[in-house]
Amino acid sequence: MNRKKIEELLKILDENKEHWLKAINSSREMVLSNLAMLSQEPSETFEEENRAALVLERFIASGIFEPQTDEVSNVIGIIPGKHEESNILLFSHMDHQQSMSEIDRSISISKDRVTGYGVSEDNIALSILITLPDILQRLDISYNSNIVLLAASRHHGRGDLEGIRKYVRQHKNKTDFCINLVGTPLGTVNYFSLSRVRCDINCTIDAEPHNPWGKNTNISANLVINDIMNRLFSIPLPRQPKTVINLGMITGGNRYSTVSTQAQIKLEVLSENDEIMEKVIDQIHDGCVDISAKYGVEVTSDFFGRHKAGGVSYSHPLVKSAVGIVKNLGYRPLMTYNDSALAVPLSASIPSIGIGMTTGMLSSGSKGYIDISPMPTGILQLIMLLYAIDKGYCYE
Amino acid sequence: MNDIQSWLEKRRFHHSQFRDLKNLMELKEKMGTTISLCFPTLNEESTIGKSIIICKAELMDRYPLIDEIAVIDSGSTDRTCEIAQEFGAATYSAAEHLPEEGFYKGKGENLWKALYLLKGDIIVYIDADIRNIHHRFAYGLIGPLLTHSDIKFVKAFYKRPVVSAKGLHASGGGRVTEILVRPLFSQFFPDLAALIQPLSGEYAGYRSIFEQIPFPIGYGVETGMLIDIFQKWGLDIIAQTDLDQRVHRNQSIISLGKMSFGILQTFWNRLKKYKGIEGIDPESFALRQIITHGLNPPEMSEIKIEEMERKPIIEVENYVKKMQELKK
Repeated sequence: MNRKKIEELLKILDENKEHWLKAINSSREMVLSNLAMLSQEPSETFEEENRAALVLERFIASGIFEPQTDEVSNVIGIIPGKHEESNILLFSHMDHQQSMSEIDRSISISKDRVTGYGVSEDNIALSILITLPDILQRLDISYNSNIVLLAASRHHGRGDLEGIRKYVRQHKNKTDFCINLVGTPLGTVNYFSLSRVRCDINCTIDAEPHNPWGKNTNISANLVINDIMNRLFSIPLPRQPKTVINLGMITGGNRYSTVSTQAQIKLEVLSENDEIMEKVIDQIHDGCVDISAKYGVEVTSDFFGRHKAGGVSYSHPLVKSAVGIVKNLGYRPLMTYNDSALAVPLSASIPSIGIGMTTGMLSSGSKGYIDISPMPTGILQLIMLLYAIDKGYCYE
Repeated sequence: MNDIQSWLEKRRFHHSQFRDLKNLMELKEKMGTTISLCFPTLNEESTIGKSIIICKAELMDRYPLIDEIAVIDSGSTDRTCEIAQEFGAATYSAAEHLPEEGFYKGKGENLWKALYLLKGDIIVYIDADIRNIHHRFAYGLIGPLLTHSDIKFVKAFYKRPVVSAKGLHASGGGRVTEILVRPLFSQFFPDLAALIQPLSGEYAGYRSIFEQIPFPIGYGVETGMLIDIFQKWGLDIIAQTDLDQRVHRNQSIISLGKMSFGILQTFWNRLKKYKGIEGIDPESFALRQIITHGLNPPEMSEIKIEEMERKPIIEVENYVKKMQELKK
């Protein structure tokens, strides 16, 4: 996409900006109301049914024709386009990791901020997604393309992006573009994904070992895990293509006074190159087998959450449009990889992009927050990007 | 007992029966009724924003069922009023209105002044400290009023898990209800013992009812209101709606003691008025409580709690004038 075309797009958007922003501002309470209700509905990964029911109810209330859920609790709604020749998928995930029965899931809304568990990651994005039909109505905008709204299930951890994977598997041939809405930060432009795998390494020691080598030696599972960590550190990782191993979590043992019989490492490997990733996976697996034999204890390595490197390049008109829009709205584009849901449509060769909805602070606990005042700009960015795709500015 | 049983069945609803908001809206239009929603507040900055946003977005913007949302405040020192205004609620300081009637600090005072400040034929009162607020708290109470012409006052009931530092816990809920109010009702107003949560802070009713009863200004407002409505119009105009679950902060026994002290004063007044029982005026309005701090010897605390009452607002000249002007 040449510079002239971008300028042409931004000029059209500039003409509509004020009017659109006014209409978006008038839907602020609706977005926040949906956010509050979503936040109050627990939706742990694999247990998204209640939140899915709320999303479905919201779609029905917005007048979406025949919204539906599928067997993995994805909720899908379509805003039909005038020509219905192309389909733009808009998605955000519905689930959260932490069990909500043990925490107070109530959020707090002040004049300028919404604070609480899951607000910034990514309930605000889901809230905007489900309010979009009302927002478009207020804007009096209708697109030529179908806008497919997907509230995706099973995003986190062992859910392994099953919701978006299932949708893309079934509809990849009918999806022309994909936009992944994330909570924060505003300015985010994700357009490529890394090769990724996650792995749980478990060491378990029988209380009464039958193996003579292990008998009466008081081997601690923590000690074994320490050895595995040393082995992981010795795996040669190239600078180019960049590859990293991140030891996300380590747990082990029960008490001060007992020898640990169980320990675990949860790690993630990221790489720019799929072949290197395969080699690293083999090395981790072999190392675990080796240490298992050496100590005479059970060490398992369970790999999951695998997706391949992919993406579009910066020169793709979708990326250029998104970057141009972010700059036009006065924000700095934060161009980076996405190691999560966006990888799924990208690896199916669907031109895809991830954008942030507002500013705020990510937190796995209840201290995360989003700022209210930049939120309309985040929504405006989405409306502009949909316009750009719909009017053909993002085709190569 | 049979009558009570039949009342319980006839007059008990679930909020889901009224989730068709379009239908409620049409009923309201047909009846030519207006509805006001009131949040009485005192330092509720952590919950008021959410309460207003949800009710406004769902019951004014999406389905115009409610005509106005107002916050009546007792003098918050936090950002309650600022937040309420930001999200579009009319915000009133109770002290600044009807000054000729003076000002008392208390929830009942806010509810009473709301009758003067709000315009609706139906008034919905919702406490502003609900952590899991949902618009069902309003439409679940409005529903029976719009669908049953003989119902004039609706009380909420719900499950009440409490929030502590460790999270949410199931709770029997309503310790003051079960230890104080229900036993008293059972003895003196047995029909009212059928109210599942007589002290719930969420209720809706017709102005024509509220304006004719006195309002205790403090802890006794719910108890007094129930007894007065029951005595004046009978049980059949009262209904109760199940709102599922209401999450709230657990209160200490000391706080519940204060609440009980206020409720008892309201109760004695009603016994005198309706049962002709004399000689039960409290000797003192000072509540004495024993406070213990760790291993230190117990200490006696004394706090004055005098449950003042507002006369029926229909007896206030400026109220009558304002209502007449509104009718014009």
